Amino acid sequence: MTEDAATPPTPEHASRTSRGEPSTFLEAIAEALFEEMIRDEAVLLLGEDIGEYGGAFKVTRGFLDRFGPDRVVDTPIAEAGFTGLAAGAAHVGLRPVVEMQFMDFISPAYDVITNYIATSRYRGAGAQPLVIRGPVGGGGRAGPFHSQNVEMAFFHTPGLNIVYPSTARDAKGLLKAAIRSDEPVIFEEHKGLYRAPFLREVLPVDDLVIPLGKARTAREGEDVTVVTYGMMVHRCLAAARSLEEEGVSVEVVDLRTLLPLDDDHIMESVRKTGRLLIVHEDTRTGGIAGEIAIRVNEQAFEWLDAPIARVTAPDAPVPYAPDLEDAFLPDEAEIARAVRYLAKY
Amino acid sequence: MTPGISHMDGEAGSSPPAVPLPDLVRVLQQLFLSRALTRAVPEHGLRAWPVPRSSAVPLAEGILDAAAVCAATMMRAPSREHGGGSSEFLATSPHLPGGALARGVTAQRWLAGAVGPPVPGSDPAPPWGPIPSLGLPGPFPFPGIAVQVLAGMTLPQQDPDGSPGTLHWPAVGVVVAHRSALTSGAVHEGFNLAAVRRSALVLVLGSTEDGPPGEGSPPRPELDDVAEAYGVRAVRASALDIPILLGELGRGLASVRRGEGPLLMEVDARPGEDGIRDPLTVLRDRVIRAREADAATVAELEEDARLELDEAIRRISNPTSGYIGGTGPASPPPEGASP
Repeated sequence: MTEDAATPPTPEHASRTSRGEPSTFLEAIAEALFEEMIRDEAVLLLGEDIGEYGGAFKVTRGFLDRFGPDRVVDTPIAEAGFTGLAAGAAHVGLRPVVEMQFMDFISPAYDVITNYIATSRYRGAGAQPLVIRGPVGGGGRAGPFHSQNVEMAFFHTPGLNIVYPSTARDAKGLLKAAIRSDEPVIFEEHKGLYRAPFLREVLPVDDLVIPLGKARTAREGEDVTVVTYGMMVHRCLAAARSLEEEGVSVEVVDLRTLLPLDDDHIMESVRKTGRLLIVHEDTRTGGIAGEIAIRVNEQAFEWLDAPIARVTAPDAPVPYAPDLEDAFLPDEAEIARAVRYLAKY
Repeated sequence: MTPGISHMDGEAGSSPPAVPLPDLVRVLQQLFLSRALTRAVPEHGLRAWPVPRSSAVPLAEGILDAAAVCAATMMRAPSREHGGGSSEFLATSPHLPGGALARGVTAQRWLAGAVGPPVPGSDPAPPWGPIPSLGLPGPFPFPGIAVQVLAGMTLPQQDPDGSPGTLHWPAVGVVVAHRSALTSGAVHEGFNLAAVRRSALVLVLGSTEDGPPGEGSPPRPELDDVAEAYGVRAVRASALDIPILLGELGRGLASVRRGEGPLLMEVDARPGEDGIRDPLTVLRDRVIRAREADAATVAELEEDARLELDEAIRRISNPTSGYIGGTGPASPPPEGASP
């Protein structure tokens, strides 16, 4: 992209790819937002402290200088209000991207998201091209108000898409696709991945758009399929590497998009291995594992050689205490134990 | 100052700018029909939405209907069908007949929506169907979401012909709700955002109980407080004087189009000298007195509304229309009652 002398500079963290440098997960998100705002003037950002302060995690640092206060909108602490405002903006041709400072705070906006935004097209009221994005997940010693995963609060609401990437590449490509989608998208970003050094990668210079609704195989294997997403992809990959030394070949499927689920990809892997473990950081009851298990039961039961198993967080709020939080979150050892059980079944 | 209107930020003794008024006979026609619809549901025993005919606040429907009809009348191009490309949006509860009529819904369609969905397998030929919130991505049963969404629809945008930072207001919106909407936090969130972002939004709040006596009174203190808190203007217009209400809405719409920020408007009825507290009755008398239509023509308009309603009722009563219930008691007759 070209910049004249009067144009405020492109934020350094949102332009690593153009310099051939590797990007973190967070920088990939910043790049996606920045590039989409350059590409389409209808894209605007709304959220608490995203302008002057650059966002709680500094995703939008420097965006206000570049795009001005009408496209980088600092909002009051009023999640319902600014999500509703975004819905209105989406109706008149804009493409709002709402940042929840922490996704835990999305609950005040549940009404407008589920009753209004999600139902809009079904009511004949037209598309709602908007994205609601923000940090999720535990491990940061942030307790129950800043560590939740919110996907299942919205999973059963027709009309929504839910995306939960696990790599910098996917974060950028999926976010760009979400912004270009005519459907409302809830985009979850695990804060533990934001600056994870192992996720730094050089991203393609070309316009990187990854279609929504498509899972990917993060690791190929023959004995057991592990279906997962987000931070747990990396725990499962670590478990798979250690199990390989024991002679167990694990296939890891990264869902990337939770709603709609990529049934075809899941079934293909299950039919290959005959064994399925589902892993999620979200709590157990009403977790996505239940939905995936019943779909496999419906579509691939004859291929199963073992019961479907799951590793999840327990049914409890995310604890403050470090020891308790460590025990709360699924870890590599738990995953490996479950895979061994299935492999030997 | 024009009788019946108070401007919070107006200069004492100054006259507000003149606003060309529309055809009052047309407004009267709409009010006749909305009144007929309001009364039809309980009078015909339709299974329907709870239209509060016997509310403890007898002016409820009259005031909100008048506000909705007048708002739509003063909008440049009130939408007749969703997707028509209008940039003027009116949000009311779908249950408010005046609001539905103002958005272009026919009496038959409103009643069809009131009666309920068609019997499965029947042929719900047009115009039967759910009540659309015409011109709007509605319906808006909850005023909070209406205020939030319209605040977003009426955001200022970069003027395509202006220098960077030059804004214009390509869309305006009016939300008509009962004053009790101010008890909703969602309404406050939406209106606060409208104020912060200077959305082109008029929030019309109908007060259905008597206000403090005296024409020209300012908005109730609690509305003034809300407006002051959000740094917006508040005005009050009497629902009993339709020309004044139309004028105030016209000025309000013009001001939000100019980017002066959202407007809070109270519409109510306050005890007057003649004791008549019904917008429809007052307007009918005025139209006749001012010779805008003679008494016979006005009577004909009222009769037309009744005939349109009768036709709508007849079609709903027709079993082939496919609607559950049709006419008849809203609940089964008591045991032992004669057929």
